[in-house]
Formats: sequence, structure tokens, C-alpha cells
Amino acid sequence: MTPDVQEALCRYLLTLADDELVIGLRDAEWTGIAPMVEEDVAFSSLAQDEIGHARLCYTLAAELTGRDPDHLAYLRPKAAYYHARVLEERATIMYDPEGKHSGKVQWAKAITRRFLYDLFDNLRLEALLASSYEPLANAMRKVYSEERYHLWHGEAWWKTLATSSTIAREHLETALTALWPGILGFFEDAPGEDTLQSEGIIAARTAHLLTPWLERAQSYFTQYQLSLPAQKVGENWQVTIEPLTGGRVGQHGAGWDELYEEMTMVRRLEPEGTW
Amino acid sequence: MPIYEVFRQEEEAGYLRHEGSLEAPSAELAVHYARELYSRRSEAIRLWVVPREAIIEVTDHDFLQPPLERTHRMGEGYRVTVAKRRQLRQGAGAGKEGQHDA
Repeated sequence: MTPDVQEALCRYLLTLADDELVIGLRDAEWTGIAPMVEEDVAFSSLAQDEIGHARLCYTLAAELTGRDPDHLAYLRPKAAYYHARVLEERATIMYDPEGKHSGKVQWAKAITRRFLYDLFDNLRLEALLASSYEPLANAMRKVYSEERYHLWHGEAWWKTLATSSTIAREHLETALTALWPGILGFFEDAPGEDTLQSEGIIAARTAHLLTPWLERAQSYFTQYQLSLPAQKVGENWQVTIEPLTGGRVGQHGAGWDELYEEMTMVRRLEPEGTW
Repeated sequence: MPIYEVFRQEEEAGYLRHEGSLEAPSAELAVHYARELYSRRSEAIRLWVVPREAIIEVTDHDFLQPPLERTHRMGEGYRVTVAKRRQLRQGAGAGKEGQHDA
């Protein structure tokens, strides 16, 4: 592997891992406060799965560079994380020991982000199953078999939000309006994806997943008379909302300031400690 | 919200045993919750997730514990028979005990 291919692959793996780690950590915040105890257990378990997938990708990146997966996960500088920005947003109340809690409980936002992300993640995984980089293909086949169930869980909630009551549907529509720019931000390429594609390491660039994603998402939207911010003109889709990008080059928002602080807090106490 | 009862089979030669119940807004989610609550650490090779309303519950005491004498249906009756046969055989001649009763 040439140095530029290795660099691109490492960056791609970190991007993948960061997406999974960040949504895993945000969704894990529902432990103890989800709408029902059954969902609490289920959603927390999905969050754990994502953190497990992140670990797998950090390990692959660590094997390439001879570094430690935990260092990659918790000790990189704040601007060297490449997840899509919408994943870093908090959807739960920020607890304050003094009693000045902030934010609100936004279950519809969490579950909608989760489902639309899983739809994206599934397409991305499909583009890696036949990767010419064998360790990646092997790892992603395992991940893919777990992700099927995530999608299944998301579909059940999507239907519940869209059809169970007027209030649930309003929550879904409000969440969608707020999330759209960020959802479209998933489809930002990591630097070097063209190199990876020509090497056969990835079958499709992230930016090229938007069309198949819209095709796949469309059925879930039309089924429940929900609208997509995109229209198909001939063979092409025209998106009517500006995506929130920058995540893939390390630009993030207030949600990341907070999450980064929290997730690295313990590790920074004793960076070389054995846990 | 509907309640579902969950049955679990742990090994190929095993049987399904009732493990508990859960609450879920739909059958699809009930299946997810069943896995998370009753096979979280891969304990099951099979689950049955049954809407509680599909279960026909029978608790009628007179129906299940009829008041009339039915000792002829009890296993003990057969034990008495075995003991009696043994006594008879011992009376008839020694040495062959156990051959038929084992």
C-alpha cells in the first residue's frame, strides 16, 4: 500500500469510527430516560453496538498506523474528529447538579436521526463488503449483519411516529425540519475517497450515496405522506436544502464542544493509565 | 399498550419455557424487546413472543382440581401394583425378583 492510499484509508476509517462513536455516545444518553423501560434497554443496546463498531474501525486504523485504538478514540485533538455534525447534537436534557438543567427531551429527534443515519450507514457498509482491503471487508460483513436489526428497529419506530397519533406525527415532522441540513451533511466525502475508490477499497464515495439514499428513503416517506426536501427531475434528484457540512474536515459545533469535553474527561486524567 | 409473553428455548434438545413478559407498541418492537430482555447475552436459540390476549387462561378450580376421587389416575396406583406383584412373586418362588420389574 502506498503512503497516500494508507493515509486516505486511515482517514476514512477514522471518519467511519467517529460517526459510530458519536452517535453511540449520544444515544447512550437515553439509558434510564427512554419512553418505556423496554425501549430504554433496546436503545441503549443499539448505542452499545455502535460503540462496538467504532472500536472495530479504530482497531483497523490502529493496525495501519501502529497506534493504540483507545488513543485514536479518546486522545485526538478536538478538531481531528470527522463525524457528521448532526450526530454530535444533544437530544436529551443536560443535567446540572445545581438544578439548572438545560435543553429538552427530544425522543422523536433521537429516533429519527437514528433511523435516517442507519439508512445511510447501511448503504455505506454495502460499499465496503467487497473491499479490496480484506480486513475492512471482513469487519464490515460482521457489522452489516448487526445493522440489519438496527434498521428493523428504526422502521418500527418510524411507523409508530408517523401513524400512532397526531402528536407523535407532529413531533416527527418538527424533528425532520430541524434535522434535514444535518442529515444531508452525512454525504460529505472524507479527503482521499477518490483514491480509495480507484484502489477498489471502497465501491462508492460517500457523496455518491446520496442518490441511492434518497431512492431508499423515498419509500418510507411516501408510505406515510411525509415529504422529502428533494425532487426527482428525470433521473436526477434536486435537493432543496443546503447541507450542514464541515464535519468530515473537523469543523463542529456546540454539541461537540460539550460531548468532547465529557467523553475525554476521564481518559485525560490519566492518559497512559491502564483501565 | 399490549403485553407480550416471552418463551425461550436455550438449546436444541431443550424445550420452550416461559421467561416473562414485556410491553410494546407493536409486534415488531415486541420482537426487539424480547431479544434485549430475554436473550441479551445470546441465551436463546428460539423465542416465542405471544400477545397476552392470544393466550387462553384456565384457572377454574373445579375444572382443574375436580372434587371427586380420581386416585385411579394417579401414578401411585401403579406403584402399589408393582409392590403387590413383587410380593406375589416372592411367595411363588425365589431368585427371579427384579427381572420384570426393573
